[in-house]
Amino acid sequence: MASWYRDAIDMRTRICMSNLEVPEAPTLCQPVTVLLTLFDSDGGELAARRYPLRRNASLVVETSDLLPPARRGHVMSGQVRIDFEGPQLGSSRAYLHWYNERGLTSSHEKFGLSIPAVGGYWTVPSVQDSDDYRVHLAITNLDERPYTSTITLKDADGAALDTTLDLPRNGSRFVSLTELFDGAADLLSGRPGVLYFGNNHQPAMYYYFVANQRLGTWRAQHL
Amino acid sequence: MSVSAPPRPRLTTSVPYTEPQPRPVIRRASPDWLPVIGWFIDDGLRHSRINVIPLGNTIDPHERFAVTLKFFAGQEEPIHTFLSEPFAGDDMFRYESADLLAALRRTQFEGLVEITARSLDNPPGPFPWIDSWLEFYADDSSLSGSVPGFVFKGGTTKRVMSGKWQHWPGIAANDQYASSVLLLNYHPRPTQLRFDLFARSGRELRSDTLTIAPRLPVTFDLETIVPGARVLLSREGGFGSLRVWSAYKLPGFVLMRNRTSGVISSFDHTVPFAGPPID
Repeated sequence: MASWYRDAIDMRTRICMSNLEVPEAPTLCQPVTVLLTLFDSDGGELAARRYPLRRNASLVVETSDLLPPARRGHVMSGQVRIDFEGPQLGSSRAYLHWYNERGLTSSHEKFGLSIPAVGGYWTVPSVQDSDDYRVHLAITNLDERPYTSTITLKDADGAALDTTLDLPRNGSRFVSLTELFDGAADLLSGRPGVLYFGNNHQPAMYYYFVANQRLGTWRAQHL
Repeated sequence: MSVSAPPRPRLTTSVPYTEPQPRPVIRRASPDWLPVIGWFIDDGLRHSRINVIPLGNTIDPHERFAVTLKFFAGQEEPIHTFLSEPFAGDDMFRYESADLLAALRRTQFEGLVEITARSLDNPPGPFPWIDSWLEFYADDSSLSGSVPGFVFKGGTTKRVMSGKWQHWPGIAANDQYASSVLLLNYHPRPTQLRFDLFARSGRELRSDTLTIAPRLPVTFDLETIVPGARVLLSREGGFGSLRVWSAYKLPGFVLMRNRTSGVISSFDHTVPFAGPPID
């Protein structure tokens, strides 16, 4: 399993997992271990630690506690790899909390490193650009090879802006719409648009975060 | 700790044994696209929007799609059905909850929506549904969420509703955050369910066995249905794991609210338990 994390002033990350019984067959649930590995944005390994997880217990880990002291609070984007080392009973999915003093948002990882095909393009279905709704993208490369993709922003009428994104192996990026595109707000003109990743064949994980700058909160959603 | 499932509801009475007879395999003349299910609400403060994006489902800019929306509010049959015009390429299908209120001549609605999006040019493939996204937002910013429509019927690798158990690790009940669980009963019959809440150590509290009426959504406040939830989790860091049992499959979502601001900024689906993974 893999996901994305940030350890910075505006957003910290917490990893949550459980090892719950299947109630119809409780004896199948056994103590396991979980290996967490953190990478930096360039794909360099920063930390790895193995945790025990008893029957019916839950693991709640702050990524800042894993990081080397010098890196705490200074990782703007990174991939986290989560290896559940034991029988898979179905309750081993990990959820991530991304939070700050104002809010908490949560979503799950990608199970495995193989991504089911999408019929089209990985799409952010509603893109806006205002102080209440500022889109940020979090992308992690799950491929053994470097990942390259075009990113296309379209307004409600189909007018487009394009850019490209490159990620090394195990690399990741966290980038706002305004960093990616000059004039995004002008293009969208107050109406929801869409955003596509042109690379629909390499395994990658995509989240988008909506920043409400008035409230100081984030809202996450996986694609 | 021994945990057993609630008793299975008795659905049928016993009948005398009869030798099963071979039956012809019933095949549809052509397979149809699967619907997805979602929560849909407009109470004047909270609003909903359905998004279907053609190029999220095809790389052919000319492939045409059409959407059928059926809205349920407790009755077996939908109270409103909407058929879209065909759309393709850069034409995005967006349906606002205000459109539903206007059609129903109501000021409020909370119920379920069945979204069946179909390609008009290609038959269903190995993933026989069109991705649809539901957005939720509030005028006072107290709610912000976006989730994909739930694929209710299985048979593919994305067997979202493969199990009667679902779970959410990381649920909150502490001084800063409160959680609620939204469950959608798409079945035309009442559905029983139960919540099992685990602290990090494995200490557990359970709800009573509850029931959701047919064709309705219900939002359960965790600390109401599991008395002592906040104390249980707060003693061990404020976060734990939730396991939900239901007699029939229920799409489930966890919403986490900041107690100080009242803002819900965490809204995503649970994952099935003891079933194949989903992405």
